[in-house]
Amino acid sequence: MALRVFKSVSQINEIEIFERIRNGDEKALEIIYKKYYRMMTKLVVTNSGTEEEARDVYQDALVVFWQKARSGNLVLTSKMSTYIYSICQNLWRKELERKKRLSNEEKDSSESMDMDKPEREKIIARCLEQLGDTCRKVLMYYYFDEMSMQEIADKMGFANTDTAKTKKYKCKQKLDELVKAQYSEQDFLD
Amino acid sequence: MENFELIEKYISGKMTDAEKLAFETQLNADPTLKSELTLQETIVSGIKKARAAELKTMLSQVPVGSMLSAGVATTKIVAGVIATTAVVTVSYFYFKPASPVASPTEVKTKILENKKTERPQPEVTITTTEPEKIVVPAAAASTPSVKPKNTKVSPAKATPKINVLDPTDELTTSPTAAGKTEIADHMTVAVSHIAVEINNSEKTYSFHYQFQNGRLILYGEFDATLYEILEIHGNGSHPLFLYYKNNYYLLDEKQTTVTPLSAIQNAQLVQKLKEYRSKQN
Repeated sequence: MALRVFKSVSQINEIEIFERIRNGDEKALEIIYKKYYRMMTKLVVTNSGTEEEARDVYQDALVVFWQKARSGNLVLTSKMSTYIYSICQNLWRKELERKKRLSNEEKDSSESMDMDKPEREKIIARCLEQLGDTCRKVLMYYYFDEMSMQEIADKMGFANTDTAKTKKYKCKQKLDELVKAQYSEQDFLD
Repeated sequence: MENFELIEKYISGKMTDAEKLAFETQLNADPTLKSELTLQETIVSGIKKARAAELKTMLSQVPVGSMLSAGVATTKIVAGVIATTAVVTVSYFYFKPASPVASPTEVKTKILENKKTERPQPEVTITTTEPEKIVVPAAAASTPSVKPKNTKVSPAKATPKINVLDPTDELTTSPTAAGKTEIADHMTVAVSHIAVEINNSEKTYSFHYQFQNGRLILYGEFDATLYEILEIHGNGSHPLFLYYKNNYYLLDEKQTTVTPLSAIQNAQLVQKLKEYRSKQN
């Protein structure tokens, strides 16, 4: 009986939290992270993973969840935890497969494959840092969180969507220049 | 910057099939556009990666307390008690009709202990119900001294004062040991006129009840022709019982949350209720 009460309360919270995540409230994501930490990391730890791997997988899963929720295409048909759990399962399965592949292959053959991709990412991350907080946030919100111009304006305290649009455009141009300046096109594209 | 916009649209996947086809044709014919696209794809993916890393860093700073080292060993305990809420659902007492004067009053308190259990699998939240019967002497009846661990016994419900009448006392006019309980001399039983509503749309509640705004709501596949609500009138109190398919259930009018119905097991009480029911029918 008391359980029913609890359940309905937690369901209300679920809806509310999910709504907050959809609206880009990072605090809500932190609440979820804390709430299911043990449950989700256990999945990895009890399946031949380390604590570190468990945390990494769980965090990746939440980032996926965040992005899906933000995109507005996610309709929760099950509990949020069930959904996140299945993302964790998928990510961990992929990681295990990757590890298996790595150990089966000779190391020297796999090394040359993707060496410069993380390197490029690092460069872009560095350039983003150089842009400053406002630009970095605007670009991240736009490209990753897929925020509308209105949302970006609200979140960043811009006067209106036009300001947001202009900001985004200028920031992107600046980033492009920085990236291009650091690398000759040839280096970058090969 | 026509190309800039086209590339943006292409990368974000917002092009229609026709637009996409046209753009890809253009790409194949224009190496500069193609290399620009590759650059933009890398930059956008870099922004996304940076944002993902930022979110992960943010999460890493949330204090969670590592339980993993002890995690496996403590699984069972963890699954055990997160929150314990226990509520006394039914509390009634009775007197033996032909008992000698000194016969002690027996108080039977039925405690339903509901444990909210968090299991590692997210799909399920289950409850374990452990009915426990405690027999305490009459002296201790008003203040239950036996308290199971993690169990909160609501004093209001555990005292004999509650609206529970012993139907058997109508037959035995002899004074009883429990002075606090005033048994009416002229108890009557009637079919209650309380408004009853049957709700069979809630799948989670298969056989439950609650009181809401003075109305009784029965949850489950109740056959409307088969249930009866019995009201026993006493001095100021009028306990309600539900009769359904040969079983009797005590209905606590204070119960405003949805509560599972459990049949009264006390054979004597059931017998008395049966007699009442046949009398008034």
